[in-house]
Amino acid sequence: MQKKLAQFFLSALFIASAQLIAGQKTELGRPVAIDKSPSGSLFVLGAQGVVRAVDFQNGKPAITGTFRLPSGWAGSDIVSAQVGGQSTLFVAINYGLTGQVSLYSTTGNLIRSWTLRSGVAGIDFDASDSTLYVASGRTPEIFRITMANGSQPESVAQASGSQRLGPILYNSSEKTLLVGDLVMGAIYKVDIANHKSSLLFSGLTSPQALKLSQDGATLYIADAGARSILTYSIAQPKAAPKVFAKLPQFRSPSGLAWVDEGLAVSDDGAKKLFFLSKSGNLQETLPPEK
Amino acid sequence: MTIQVPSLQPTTTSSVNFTVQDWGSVTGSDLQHLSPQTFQSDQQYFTVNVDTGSFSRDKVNRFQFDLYVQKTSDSGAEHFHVYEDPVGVFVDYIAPVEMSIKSAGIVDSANLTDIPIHAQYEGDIFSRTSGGNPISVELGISSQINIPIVSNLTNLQAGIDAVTISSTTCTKCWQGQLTATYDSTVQPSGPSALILTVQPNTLYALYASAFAVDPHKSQDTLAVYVTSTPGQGGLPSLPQKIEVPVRFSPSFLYLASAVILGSLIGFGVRRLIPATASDADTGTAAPATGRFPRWARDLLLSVATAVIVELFGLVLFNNTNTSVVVFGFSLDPSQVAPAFLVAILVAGGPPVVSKVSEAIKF
Repeated sequence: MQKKLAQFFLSALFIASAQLIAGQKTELGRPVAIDKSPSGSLFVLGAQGVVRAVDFQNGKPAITGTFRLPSGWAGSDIVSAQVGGQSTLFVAINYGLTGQVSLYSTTGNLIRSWTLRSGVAGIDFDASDSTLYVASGRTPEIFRITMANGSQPESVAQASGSQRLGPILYNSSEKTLLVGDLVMGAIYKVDIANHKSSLLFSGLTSPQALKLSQDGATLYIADAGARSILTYSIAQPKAAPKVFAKLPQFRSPSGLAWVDEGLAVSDDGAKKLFFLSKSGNLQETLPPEK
Repeated sequence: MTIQVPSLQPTTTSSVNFTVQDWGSVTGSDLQHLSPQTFQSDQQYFTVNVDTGSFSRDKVNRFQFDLYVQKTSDSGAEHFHVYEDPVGVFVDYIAPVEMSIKSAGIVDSANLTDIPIHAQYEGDIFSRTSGGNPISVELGISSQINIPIVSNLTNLQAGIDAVTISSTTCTKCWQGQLTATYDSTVQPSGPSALILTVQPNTLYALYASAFAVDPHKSQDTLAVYVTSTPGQGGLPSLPQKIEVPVRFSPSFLYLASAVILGSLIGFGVRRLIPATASDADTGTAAPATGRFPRWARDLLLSVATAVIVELFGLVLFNNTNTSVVVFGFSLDPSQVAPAFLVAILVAGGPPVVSKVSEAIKF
């Protein structure tokens, strides 16, 4: 009898421990941004300033590494890049009104950081020119940070007419920037050379993340208000947007990243990553669907 | 359908504006996933569901939440996203928020209670409840200082994230790391305490206390920095500085040593001062009689007098806070330097006192 009781308690303990470990491996917090590194890992930035690496193991996504940003900093955006031959991550964070962009190794070692007094809403990296572009958190300004020693953020242009900048995307084929406006529900195009901006698309609710298709012809937008992923044709800005994915599980899509042939979507409201096929169908989630 | 949320004014110098975005229609099944707080509009035309699960910060750190306005007869609702834009310094609180609703010619209003109002620049989240008098820290041992505090958040919990301590005037007066223990959660307007664990570095602390003999002044001030976060989506505060003035309190052994050494020095100095005519008249130069030589009797008398005066001073100081005044300076007899000085003067007697007095005059 005692042996059976001991066996029962041991089994219960084993099951509880296994569930705890599994929970820790899939718990994402509130993912606000994602990007895929050249090494193949997906990096997820949490609202509470936690960076998690996600890899596919046996065909299933799992958290394979974690590092924390300074306590109290709120995550805003994350971009992976090769800097100085090293695989790195640019992480944009805000503390109160102050923003900071920090360059980390993929294992979480801080390499450099830059402060932006008006906060930071979004970042993207131009690999060909080793330049980081930053959308300001409280002003319509767009800044440029070169990777030269001692470089400081330098104003490139203003997205005139915008109310609250959000995501930013460097379009290498046109050498322009696309910037979302969280309040106006619009996308602005910024000509870097001429320092001029123009309204490209409108009619969104709250664009949180931008991604171009691999051929550069289609813009994918995570729209939190519409709870969907929309696509626009870059060549036909007047054409109506198409719905790429509108899952009932979407709460507030916040980040986009290409993963193999599909699209990974972070959702800070749903506290999940959704892995979509090329046609927008749901394939996997992290944490897995119950 | 449109809604408007008028600004709030937490203090005369601060305000909170609300930015409202219409995020379109949702179905009744969408509403089932929410954790709503439901309010009826004043004229019963609308039901307003505030999704408390949506209380969060956006990518640029603005506090945001969702609300859903439903016509009383409809199953679906209109989804609105609300951002707070605070201006100025105030302390976070929970407030009722008025909103107006317009839809198809109907104008109604609703009063939403329990909406967290968060500052961008947080006021002081905690106040110290005890007075600012210097706290006594015993030399030679590790001791704990209890700092009672109270939360200034009247209806929100406060989470203490970190407490760091540093010395403001005498870093070397402390051994090892100054640490604090505390409860990480403080209830609205609730009391709590920071318990500082400190160990003075005796030599440096004695040196610091030698020049701060005024019993009412601190010999060092510890700066305690508290970083905390108001509940329900508040921003982590900048470290709030709480100053803790301290006085080092020597143990009995240190005081006894100071008194004995002081009385020996006072006695020695007195012996070195040539006897005056008045001394001869009063018989101080008379030959000794008894078991001990005269100098030994004088020495014992000097030490005993110094000890008695120190004990008397300590009793008065501890019970009535009466300080010892020497040459116009108020001294704390529980400190090593004043005890040493008083012992020199008492054991030295009038010759030493008058010599010192003359020296001070010039």
